[in-house]
Amino acid sequence: MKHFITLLVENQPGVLARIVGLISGRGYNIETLNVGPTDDPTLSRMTMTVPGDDHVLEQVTKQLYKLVDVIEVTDLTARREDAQGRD
Amino acid sequence: MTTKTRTGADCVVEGLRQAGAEIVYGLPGGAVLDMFSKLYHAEDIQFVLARHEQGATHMADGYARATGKVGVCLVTSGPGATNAVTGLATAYMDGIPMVCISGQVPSHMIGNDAFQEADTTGITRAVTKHNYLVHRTDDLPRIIAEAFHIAASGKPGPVLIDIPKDVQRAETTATAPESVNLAGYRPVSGYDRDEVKLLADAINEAERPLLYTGGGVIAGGAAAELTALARKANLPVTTTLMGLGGFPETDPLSLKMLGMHGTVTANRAVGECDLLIAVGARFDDRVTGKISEFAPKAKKAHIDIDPSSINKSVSVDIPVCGHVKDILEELIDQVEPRERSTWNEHLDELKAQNPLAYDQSTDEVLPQYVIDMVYKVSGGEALIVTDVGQQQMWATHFFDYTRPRTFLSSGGLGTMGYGLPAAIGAQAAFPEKNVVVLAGDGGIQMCFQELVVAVEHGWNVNVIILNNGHLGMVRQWQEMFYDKEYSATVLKQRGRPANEKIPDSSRREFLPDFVMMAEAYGAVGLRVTKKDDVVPALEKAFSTKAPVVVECIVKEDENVYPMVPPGASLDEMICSMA
Repeated sequence: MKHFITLLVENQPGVLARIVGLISGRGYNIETLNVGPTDDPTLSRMTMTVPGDDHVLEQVTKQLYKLVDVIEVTDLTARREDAQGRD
Repeated sequence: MTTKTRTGADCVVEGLRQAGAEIVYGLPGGAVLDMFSKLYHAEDIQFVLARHEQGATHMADGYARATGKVGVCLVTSGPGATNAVTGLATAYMDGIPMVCISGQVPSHMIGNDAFQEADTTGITRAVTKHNYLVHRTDDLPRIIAEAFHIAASGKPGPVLIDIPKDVQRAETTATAPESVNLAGYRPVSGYDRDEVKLLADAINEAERPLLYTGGGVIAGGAAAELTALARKANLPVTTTLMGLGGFPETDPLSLKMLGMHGTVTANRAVGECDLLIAVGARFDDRVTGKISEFAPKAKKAHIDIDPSSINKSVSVDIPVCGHVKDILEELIDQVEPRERSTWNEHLDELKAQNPLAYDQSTDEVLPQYVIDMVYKVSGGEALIVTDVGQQQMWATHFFDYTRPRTFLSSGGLGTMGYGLPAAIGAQAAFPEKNVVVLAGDGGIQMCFQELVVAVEHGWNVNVIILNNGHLGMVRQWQEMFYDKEYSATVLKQRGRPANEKIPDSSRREFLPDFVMMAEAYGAVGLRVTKKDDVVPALEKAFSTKAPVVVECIVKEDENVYPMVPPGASLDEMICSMA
């Protein structure tokens, strides 16, 4: 199952390493990753796709939320399925 | 308002003061000299010079566990920081508040493979709650305030601040903010009243409820509330290793510890209960055994401050996220007094049928006997600090802990070498207390050098070494699960396996000579080889106004029972090798 996770994070050195380390440390591969600025120059937006089972990804999401540099975590997977269901 | 200009190193001392730090444990080096030259003049902050950075971190950890305050350590760059990693990981696994400040090579040298350079924030990322590499001196006052806030709030943990030498030397007028405000860090406050109501209803309906409580009760200062709740509704209590002291084990409702080396009663109660209430515990594998067969008949509730801890290993029916103390207070109001005599009488019977016991009739010195005597001679009033292994487990069996912060032990990481330095850190906070280290002949050698710190400060740490000539717990696993092939677990000088190629000689059987080692460090050394000498040696140790090392030569092949084999369910306890 592919998960689409989007994060709002502090725009600081080391934040990307922290997030990637947390995911790769649990043996999960990041398939795609996009990082870009937001209107607020102190924050960045990250979007990534991570294949993995739901239970583990729920745990990864909770752990990501625990990171001090992470302000917001959303798993878009469910929303995307809803949207596809309506097509 | 004009703010005084001062250096980054000044800001560190100022930040420590503002955070209320009384003691800093550490070791200097080139990259932290600026901070040390400021600490030299800070007479209100005691500096404790460890002899190895691992020791310094365990001291800060022991201080934190004994006092509930944030432990502070200060180490240099490169090897100083890498030596601190084990101590950080130990604190991280057990949720212990700590701030570790490390020096770093000057900013312009970072990434150049400079002398004593290591990527400290990279290395410690996975073993800290948060870490910082400070780029600007202007940020330093804020970062120090944030570090102490993060370390102590929510589920506590260690925070590392890596400060390059030029940042320590540069000047700033910046000050710490009035209050810490971090957009991405909002520890849980409050709790869901509906969930608490659900849990109270479940408790009121349960015939066979069981409280399973962990380190969160101690970290959250909720021991009194837990005790009141258990007594009001007659809820039996079993604790994890980290939870010892959170509920008085002398209370008839106590089932003592559960899990791999838990009591038969506690593990049976888990299997039979209809409601399991986890309080500040995290369903660790050493507690649950085979997870799919853990508390199979029970509705499960989980009270915890850490949302990521809930539903991590076990999916629960009633999650309640928030401060354990607040939630327990509310529960006390909502639960109804009930006798539950059938359930509690059944558990009392199990206790009577399955006591924690050892052979009292033998003339040999059993390690269990020594630990039992430590409890009796100390009157149960000592602050017990264990190393890791068999003595750690026996210390849970033959002591009854009645108050929080009287049993300090490395639970999650299982760090051998932890005991002695952690005891010194705790003794620094409570110089008058009887602090007793229980260690094996293996673990004690991992940080033995810190003994000199106790000697020079006049801290009367009592170190009880149970010398069975083996790495005892690993030997036990080899006996039980690896065909009695004692590979690399024999420490004595005879009976070593062939692959170690150790020539026979007339060396003494046990090396090193711990009595001579104690004396070499300026401590008192005593050796016990006979059962009758155990109590007099302990009495002498506890009444001596100096650090004392008591080396007890004990029976070498005693095992810790009960034992749940790794990966088995709690029902599959082994109670003896017969």
